[in-house]
Amino acid sequence: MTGNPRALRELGQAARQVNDAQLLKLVAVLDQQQERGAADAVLDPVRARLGHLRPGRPLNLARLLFVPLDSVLVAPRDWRTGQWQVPRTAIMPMLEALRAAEPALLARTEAALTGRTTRDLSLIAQLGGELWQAAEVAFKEPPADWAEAGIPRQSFEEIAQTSSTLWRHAAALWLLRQSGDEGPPESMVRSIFRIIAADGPDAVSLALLAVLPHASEPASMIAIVAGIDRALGPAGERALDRYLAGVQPDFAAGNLASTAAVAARFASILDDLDSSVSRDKPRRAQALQALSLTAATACTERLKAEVEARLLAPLAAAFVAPLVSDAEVADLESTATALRGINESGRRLHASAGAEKEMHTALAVLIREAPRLPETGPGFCRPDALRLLEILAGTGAALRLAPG
Amino acid sequence: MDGRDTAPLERFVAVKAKPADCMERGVAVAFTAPLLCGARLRRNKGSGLEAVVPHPAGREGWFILPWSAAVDALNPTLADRALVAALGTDPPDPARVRLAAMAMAERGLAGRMARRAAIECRGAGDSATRSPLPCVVMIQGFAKSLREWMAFAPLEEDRSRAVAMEAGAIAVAKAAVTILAPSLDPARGGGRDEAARVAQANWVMNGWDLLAILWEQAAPDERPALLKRSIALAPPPASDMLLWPGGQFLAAEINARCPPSRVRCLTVARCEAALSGWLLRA
Repeated sequence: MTGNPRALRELGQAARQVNDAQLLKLVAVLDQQQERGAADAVLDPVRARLGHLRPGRPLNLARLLFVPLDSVLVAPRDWRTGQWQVPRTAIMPMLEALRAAEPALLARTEAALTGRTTRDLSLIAQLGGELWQAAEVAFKEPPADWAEAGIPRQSFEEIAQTSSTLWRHAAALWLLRQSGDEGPPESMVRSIFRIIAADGPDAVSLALLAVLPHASEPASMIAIVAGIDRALGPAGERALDRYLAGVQPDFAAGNLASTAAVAARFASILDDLDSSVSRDKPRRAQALQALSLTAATACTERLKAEVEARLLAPLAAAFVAPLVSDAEVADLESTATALRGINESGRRLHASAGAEKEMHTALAVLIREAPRLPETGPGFCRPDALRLLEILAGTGAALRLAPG
Repeated sequence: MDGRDTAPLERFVAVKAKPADCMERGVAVAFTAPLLCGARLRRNKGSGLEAVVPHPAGREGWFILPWSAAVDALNPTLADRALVAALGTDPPDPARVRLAAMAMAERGLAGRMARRAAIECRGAGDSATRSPLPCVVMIQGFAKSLREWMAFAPLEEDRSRAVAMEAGAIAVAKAAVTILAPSLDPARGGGRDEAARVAQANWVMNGWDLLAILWEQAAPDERPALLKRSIALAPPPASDMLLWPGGQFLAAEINARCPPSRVRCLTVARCEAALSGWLLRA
């Protein structure tokens, strides 16, 4: 793979335009590359989307070692000192230095990873524990090829300290990350952060940065942490501001169902974040408002781009086709479900959002055609139309056309 | 089910008493509306129907709503309304609910997958004489899957909920096996008693079959929220069941009430898939 920066940038931009299936295929191809730098450069623009898609990627030593650091890993060109960041170019030098220090552990771990993927969550906890503990204390001086990786020697201490803090608490933070959509119980957040707080407010900020992207209610988590000790409040606020700065609504290219899920999650998170805004934080309020509007506009644009092509056109074809398969009807239904979900999330994000005109056109077509359709048969039938109407406009709308 | 979803339920009072008999307990229904999926239906004192739904705050007790109130509060789908209409005025029992679900699904209102499942069931014969043994095996499989899952569940709370559900599923499967044991003996099986045994086994397993299917169809990361919902939905044994063969297994209650999940783990599509699975396998 070429390391030409312009070509990589163009490939990265192209990756943003492809659909989910194509993106997953691209990731699979890039994961076979030995040279990570170029692959990382291509994937950098789509990392937020990959975070939602969660493809199972080969679980190798580098991935396992740096899982706890993924919230602070940045592309080399985005890396700034004093920001608790770790440039991706540090991964290989640090891994090789650890291999030199702990050859037996790394050989054993590497052997256990063969054929495993990042979906093996329990394996990550099981094998990661020992590896992260070893890494926490391994970096007293820069690895041998630090300079070759293009990282200044004077930045080593900051990078090592950031990494070491996250590795020290990695096992507990991994547990918080794995709590699912429901988020971890308050008691667990409190007991874990009480331990982290002993390392100081910076460690708390870093730990929060690591878990906030996985939290269903980030502002609520910050509030729990601030409740442990008032002195942790500013650390929480810093983490929240930095988390907010990295949040990007990207609803343009993913498939409709995953976009609907991402938009719904985004709307929930912004609801939660909204609760963190008080009069003394006008900048955050402004940032949240801008984010809501951007996300709502992205929802509307996506709807406008999809209703005709993905719903109206296949529907028109279905009305006249002598045979409409179950798969075609299922496709129409999942499209309608996703479109309604995106529309609802858009309106939740901003009252002015939504593609009412396009959605109304679809409803009008269904209301007009449903009574003319047969009750049963090989083609598109009345129950199929009623179900679409129910999905798009609710049961009440479908009931008006339903027989007795 | 969260607070926003269940605000209309606030005017009802939770009933905590154990149901005296099966009719009072009601029949769990594979409704396709997420707020109703797994809720029970029973006859009220007149000729109408009542929905029995878990306490929305996750506390002990059940809310009992006239069906007309459930229509306002819990958003039944077209398919759910058609199912209830198909039930007519006879008191619901597992066999009648199954026939009504098949009739509704055949009309296509729960989707084409459910329609195919209903047609296949119809072709396989009368549901009232269907062997309950595959359902017993399915509930045993549910218990086994819970056991396997809890080994990897990251949270202690989830693990204890899984233990409670596993115990409930094992108890129900054991009770059903005890009821059906004479049917497995060629010398004792058959006859009028056979139909009564099948009916009793179906009552004992009612509701658990649907929970088993929902669990089986859920993705790993949906299971913690589904587990909370399943604990809320698990039907309590009626007092008369305790006197049936195997009733001793049902005496222990599931003691794992928990706050409702913040995550809406069920969607209409998921409930429809569960309905299809339930028609084919329960």
